Amino acid sequence: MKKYVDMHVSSSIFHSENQIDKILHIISELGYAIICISFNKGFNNFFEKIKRKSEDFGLEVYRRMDLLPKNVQELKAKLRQIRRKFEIISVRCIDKKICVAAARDRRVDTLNFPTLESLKNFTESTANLAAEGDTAIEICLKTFLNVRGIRRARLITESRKAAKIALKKGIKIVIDSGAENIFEMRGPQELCSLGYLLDLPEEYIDLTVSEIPFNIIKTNLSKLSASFVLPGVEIVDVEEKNWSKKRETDT
Amino acid sequence: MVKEERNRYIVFKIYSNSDVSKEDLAKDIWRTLLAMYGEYGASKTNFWLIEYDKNTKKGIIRCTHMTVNMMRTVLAFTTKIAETPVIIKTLGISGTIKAAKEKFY
Repeated sequence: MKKYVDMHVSSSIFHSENQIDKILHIISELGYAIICISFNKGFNNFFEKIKRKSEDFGLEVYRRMDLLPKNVQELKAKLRQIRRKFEIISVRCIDKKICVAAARDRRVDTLNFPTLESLKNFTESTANLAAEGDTAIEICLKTFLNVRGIRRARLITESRKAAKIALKKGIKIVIDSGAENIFEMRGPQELCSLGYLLDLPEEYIDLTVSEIPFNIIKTNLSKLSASFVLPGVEIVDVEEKNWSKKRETDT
Repeated sequence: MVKEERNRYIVFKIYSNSDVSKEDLAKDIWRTLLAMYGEYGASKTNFWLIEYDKNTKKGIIRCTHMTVNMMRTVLAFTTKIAETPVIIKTLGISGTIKAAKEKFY
């Protein structure tokens, strides 16, 4: 059975501990199997509670970090610090230079464009770098819900252009809610409807909320595991490795 | 002969903290539909709110088979009903009201 993923849910949707059950219940009723919660300071213990409770609802919960660096140096420093602590790392591409650096960096999973103006940073040259760095672009429904009229129309136009470039260059597209409160969340089929608005191919739309984010998470989980060495290289048996080490020291 | 325009019935459920009336629901879906697709686009959908049950918070809307995705977008973009924040979730789509009720209602 297909697993639907909302790769961007803010921790603020769980505004109090009493509400965790109710909110997890709504999320599972909406049809999700996996959610990624964007992380705030002091959220660590709270996250563990959510993770424990989510098992009762058949949900998998992962940590996500949204970076908003001031410059490229800060981006690199933060990536060094946190890459191994989070399953998903996304960069908000408000600045062109940061967008280019994030697209190039393999440690970045998704590029996020939170405003209409920021979408203009996603050009063909940035797309080439993103394709090399295997970085996906993220389209948040929340960005569309928060604007009206001319601004929404222009946002749809710019997002459609970005999606067209991404498809042309073979960059993965992820559609998520970006919800900061529970009423900004939508079901997977409703997220898919955004894909129709952006003229994505029909057979591709469903993948943007299922297979594509699922594969990103799966790859990152294997990278974060202790046995990972390089892509395609893994330690299969730790005991065997220890034995061979011991043999080397003995000789 | 095959009919050019066939109706589809979308069964939906509303998640909200307070009750929503059928009139307010219809009004706000119309408002979103007109804002997103204009009067011409709205006319193409043949949209109508067939029924809405306040207790179960489930309802059925009608549209043409060509405009199902348009209506789904409209439901996704309907954020508030009479100033109450809501989530509208599609439960299923059917070709007849009877089947819609039997399968999803």
